[in-house]
Amino acid sequence: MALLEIKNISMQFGGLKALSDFSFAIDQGELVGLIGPNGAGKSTAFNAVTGVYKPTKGQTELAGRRIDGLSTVQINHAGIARTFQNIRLFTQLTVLDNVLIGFNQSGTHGLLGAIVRSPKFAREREKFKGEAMALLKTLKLDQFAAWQASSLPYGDQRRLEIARALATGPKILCLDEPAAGMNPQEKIELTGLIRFIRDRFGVGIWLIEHDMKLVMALCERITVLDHGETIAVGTAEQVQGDPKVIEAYLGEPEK
Amino acid sequence: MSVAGGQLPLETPVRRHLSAPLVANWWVPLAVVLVVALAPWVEGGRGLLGMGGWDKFWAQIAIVVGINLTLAMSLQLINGIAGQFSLGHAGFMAVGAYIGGYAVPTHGGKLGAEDEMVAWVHPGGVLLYVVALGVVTVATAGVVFGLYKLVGLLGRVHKRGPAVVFGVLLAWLVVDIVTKGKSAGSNPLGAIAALGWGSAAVTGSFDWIMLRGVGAAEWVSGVTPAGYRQPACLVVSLLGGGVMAAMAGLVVGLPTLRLRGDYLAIATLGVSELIRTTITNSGPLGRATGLSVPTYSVDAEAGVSAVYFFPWVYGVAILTILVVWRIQHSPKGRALQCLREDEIAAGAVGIDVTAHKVLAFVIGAGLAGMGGALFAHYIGYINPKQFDLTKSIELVVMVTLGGLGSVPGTIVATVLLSLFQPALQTANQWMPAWAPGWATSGAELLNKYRLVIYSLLLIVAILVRSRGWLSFGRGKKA
Amino acid sequence: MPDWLQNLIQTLILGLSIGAIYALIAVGYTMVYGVLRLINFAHGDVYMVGAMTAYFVGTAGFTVLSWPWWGSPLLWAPVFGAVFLAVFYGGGKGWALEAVRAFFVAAAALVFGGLISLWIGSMDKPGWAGVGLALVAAMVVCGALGMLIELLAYRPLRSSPRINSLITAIGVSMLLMYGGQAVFGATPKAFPAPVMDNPFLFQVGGISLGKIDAMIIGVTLVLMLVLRHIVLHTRTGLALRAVSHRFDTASLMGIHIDRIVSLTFVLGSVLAAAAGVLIACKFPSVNPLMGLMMGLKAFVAAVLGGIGNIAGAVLGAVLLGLIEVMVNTYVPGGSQWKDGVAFAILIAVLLIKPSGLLGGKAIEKV
Repeated sequence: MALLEIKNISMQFGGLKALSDFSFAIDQGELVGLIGPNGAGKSTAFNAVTGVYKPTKGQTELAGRRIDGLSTVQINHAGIARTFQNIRLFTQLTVLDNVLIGFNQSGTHGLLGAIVRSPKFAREREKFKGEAMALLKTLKLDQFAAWQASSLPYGDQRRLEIARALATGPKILCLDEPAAGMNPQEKIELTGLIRFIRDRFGVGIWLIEHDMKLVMALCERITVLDHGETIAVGTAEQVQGDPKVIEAYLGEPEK
Repeated sequence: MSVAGGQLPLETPVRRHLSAPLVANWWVPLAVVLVVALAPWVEGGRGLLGMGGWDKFWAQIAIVVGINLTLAMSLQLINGIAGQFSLGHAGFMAVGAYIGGYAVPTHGGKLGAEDEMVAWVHPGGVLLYVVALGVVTVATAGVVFGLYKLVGLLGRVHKRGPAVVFGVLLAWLVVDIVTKGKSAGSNPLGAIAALGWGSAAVTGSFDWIMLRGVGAAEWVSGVTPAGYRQPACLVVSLLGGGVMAAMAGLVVGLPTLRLRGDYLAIATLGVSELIRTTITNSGPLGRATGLSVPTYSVDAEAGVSAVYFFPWVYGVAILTILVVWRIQHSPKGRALQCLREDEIAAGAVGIDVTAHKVLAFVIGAGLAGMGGALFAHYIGYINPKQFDLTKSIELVVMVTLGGLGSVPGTIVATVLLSLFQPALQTANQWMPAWAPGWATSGAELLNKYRLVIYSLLLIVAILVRSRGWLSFGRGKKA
Repeated sequence: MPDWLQNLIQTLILGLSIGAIYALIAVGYTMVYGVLRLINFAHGDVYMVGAMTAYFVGTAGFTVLSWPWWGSPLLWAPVFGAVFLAVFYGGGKGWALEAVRAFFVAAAALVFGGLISLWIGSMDKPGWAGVGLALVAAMVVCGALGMLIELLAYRPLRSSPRINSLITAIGVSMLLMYGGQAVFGATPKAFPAPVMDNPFLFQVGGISLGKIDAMIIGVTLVLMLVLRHIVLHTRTGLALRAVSHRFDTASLMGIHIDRIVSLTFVLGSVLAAAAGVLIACKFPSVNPLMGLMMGLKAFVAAVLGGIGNIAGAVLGAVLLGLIEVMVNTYVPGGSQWKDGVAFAILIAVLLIKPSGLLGGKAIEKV
């Protein structure tokens, strides 16, 4: 049984069926992709799994425990972290604070401890600061630690969002179009970064992307969506040659 | 300017909007507060400018400033740090004021030698009242919540179930009231038997606790050394007011979770007004006429009370500032700021949005309740009009002009705004003897129009802080 | 007819009448919210200005025309304009010029009011005609006031976070309230309602319809129909609806946003002024603080019906009026809870269906 199992999820908004019968599985350490033309329902699938939406039908299981219908917060505590298509950093906070937030749930001192500044509070503050700086260093963001998050260059902002997601200690990391808005050089660096994260942290990575080269280079397994339905599943070569996939992206060949 | 390597020169955009703090360091707030707090002590009690120390002008201002500091700082936690726009802070203040203000005279006094009510001698009584109130409130809330869940379960059985049940009950209530008319003795709550029984149960259990606890209350008062009974009464009054206000904050925070921005603002406004209406309709609380509250004086002599009250006021103010500051600079505070920025992203990073919102409301409300109790014991006479929308707005203005999320800025803004009205009111007295006639009549005009000037300054201040000077029409601000 | 039914119908008529007043004010709130997503806290005070203007005009006391030259609005308008240009010039010529123009319009409105006041003064028994003229004068003055408020207090903050505009709105509200208090005194003034030998329009089977109630409902109906015509059947109305749907896109379609927003305020203020005059006829006592509570309740009505939706505002207002009057009549001790009813309804709406009775649901795209 895979770590994250998605079974026949459907997502209906009033009359619009955004996602039908979506099934999927990902295990720890796997690098998997989700592609499809615009409006295919990729972000909807993410949102349904991470708790932003409640699936109209279907089940999601993480390590055998049902998580569909839980809130984003509960799902994050269970072990799934995500990034967003439009970067949603906490712009007014510093880079370090953005990452420290991820460690919030691991703290055990309470509110009273914070107010009276108990020794436990002080200890945990140092500990998490150390861990956060280490994480930033791993992702080569440590020199920006005191900067305001919004003043980072675009590529670094994306990396910060990934760092923040990693700080929550997830078992599965969901990346929503991480390469959006990057130039080719940055995309190459991102490819290396994603592989590095998988190797270093052992998380399963689920990727939505539009950039074919990136997806084909990174993902061991790819699912293709079109109009909410799964039209192909397989390795990069299998999916590339699948006529249905080609038709979805380029339309029917002229007769 | 050369642009190297595809990277633009980095600069933090000038943030000229309401999150920019009015004051960024601690020296200014410290200085300002010290001046205000120490002014009455100057010259052995004669006060600054020789305008009278303790029983006059400066003492009153210093105390009002202290109370406002507590209130504004508690609101800063909700509005500034957590980013929830609350327009109903006066409601929490009112809860604290009325609870403390009612408990002390009614339950904290004893009949003295000449059959006269002596105040501040029975801390046990005040404690009993507050405990009874608290227990009954929690129990009632629990029952209501349980019913709510029950109705929700009904909804699982049949989707329209709860709506139908509710509609039938409502229709029954309305028909019953309409056909019976306004006959004496008809109780709208009695129209639906369950509601009538429920309200009787609530009042009944409250009375029962009060009756059973008399002995324990006497014991508590006996155990407290004689000299400490008055401070003990005050402490219970403050804490009781604070706790009840915190419960009110819970009641406000939980249902308004889903609301954002404007909607939250008007919901808090509505709750505050509802609290006020409840008070206005409550006989024991004095209805619209108001309630007389014993002031905290050691000596019955008029005017000496302020000295003894002063440390309490500033003690609570400093406690509030400390608590809010420490929360802000802790992981919980960070979480609140994330909540303020982006609720969805906060949820995605594992921050329990619900819990943190409620936390901000509960703590903010509790501190405001303490401020309200202080207010009641200082001013000696409270009525619902003092806690209306205007008061909430005054507090919002203090917090916003100081900078949303900035503790030092709020301190400065609060002090300045608290001084504003008294300054205009007594502009006459500020005038040195040699000032020409037009200056004096100008001062009178200032007094007459002081609220108008206040509103004009408010508008101009917001316009300027939002757009900066001399830049009207220049286009969008950063 | 049974007693209780008689009572009920009489109560319903009263409720309808009060509801009509709420409707006139609520529509202004809802239109401004629909277009700017702003709660115009000052709207209730525009209603108050309408009532006060009608009072002064109706008692032939609107003596602007007799002010000495240095107090005359005709002089102050260009003076204000010059000051604004001087202080705030910085490429803001467009706005500053509009400000000058707005002040001239306001001055003209005041002059118009003064003329009407003189006319009424020349009649020996103004009666209904006087009320009608006062109504017109109040609507003109408040229309100008609404336009001025939008231009000076809200437009400069249009690109700032909404909390700024909210606080400014509160500031304007306080300015009108306390300014009115300082200038006119806080004591309520007696509005010159027309004296009638028979106060009832008709009496049938124990149910009576008062002339004033009939007038209130009638005038409201007429104004609502006019508004409906403007919004649904004119190009300007179409532009208004477009702006309330999508602010930015509307300007791309060639709609002059500033003009539409100004018009929205003018329309809302005109209706609020009418409400002020009508209520002054019914409860002939006006004072500078009457706008606060009324504004809040009308706002609740707008939220009840679905804020941003004009039909919703009317529906919510009528419902609120009916419920309030019924609580007052039927619930023992209800006259004290009357004001609280509005807020209880507000809380209930926000908890159960924040988008109101006729409002739609908005889903945020992640």
